[in-house]
Amino acid sequence: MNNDGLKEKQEKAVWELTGRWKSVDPTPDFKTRFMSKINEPARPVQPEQHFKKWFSWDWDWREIFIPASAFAAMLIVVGSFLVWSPYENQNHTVEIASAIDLLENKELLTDMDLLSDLDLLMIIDPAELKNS
Amino acid sequence: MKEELKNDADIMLQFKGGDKAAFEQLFDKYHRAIINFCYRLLGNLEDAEEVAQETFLQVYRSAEQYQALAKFSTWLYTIAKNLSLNRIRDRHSERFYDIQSEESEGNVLEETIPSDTPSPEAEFSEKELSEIIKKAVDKLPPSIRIPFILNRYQEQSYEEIAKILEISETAVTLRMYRANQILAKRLSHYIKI
Repeated sequence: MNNDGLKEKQEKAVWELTGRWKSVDPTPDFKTRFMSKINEPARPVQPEQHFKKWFSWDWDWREIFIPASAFAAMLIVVGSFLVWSPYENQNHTVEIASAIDLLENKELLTDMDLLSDLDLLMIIDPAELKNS
Repeated sequence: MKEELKNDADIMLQFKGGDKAAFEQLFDKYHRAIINFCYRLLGNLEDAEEVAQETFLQVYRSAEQYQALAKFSTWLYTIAKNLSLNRIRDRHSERFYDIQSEESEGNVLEETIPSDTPSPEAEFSEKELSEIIKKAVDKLPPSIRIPFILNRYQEQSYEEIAKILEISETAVTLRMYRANQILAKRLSHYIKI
């Protein structure tokens, strides 16, 4: 059996198996609860609460630490990338893109928000991408 | 598809004009699908129903601003998707250290769901099988899980998924391909080829 045939069988098998995950029934009072909710007046936003939050001293340390560390790590990674190997990385990306005719499919380039899609694109038949 | 656009959008415009029964018609048509979409994303019925209610509440309260620029279902799923992702993020910020330890255990995406039974032909109850599939789909990253669920269970086309996620159709194709690869590996013990 060739690769295409096997791939198609695999897709069909996954499709059939995953279809056996049955849907759930809503709780009997779902609609009643919702209808009573829409009859409640909408709570007005308290803008002073937002200001209080920003200027208060009772921040959870994780709220600051996590985004700050993530941002710092990102700066370090991006900075290293830009400083040490821009030419090599650019070549590698262009090499992959050229090999699979990707440069002609500019729309895909703008939507590649998953860096791991690069290795996936090496596997997919380029003709499939053009026909999709 | 055009007929559906006309019907649902027309009904929503009727609601915008003050006809509350029109909203109830849309609610009755879509609430089960939205609950199941949220359930498959969030993993439990309680959260799913809360998010589904918030979704319809937003639709109800945004009636004044509604414009029939796209299919009603596209708009509805977009709201549900955004609210579900907010709920996932809220959970993650509470479970920060739990997630860090999960990710440090290796490539979570590639692990196979273990099975107690030695043979793929062994009988499973529908409930057991649902649980196995649920675990496998839950482990997909949201960027792949969402399009997979929208296509497999909510019967949305790649075109509609692209609009809901604001990506290209080709990107949807890629993600579906990846979902298929990962699930085939994770569920290899249960797949008969």
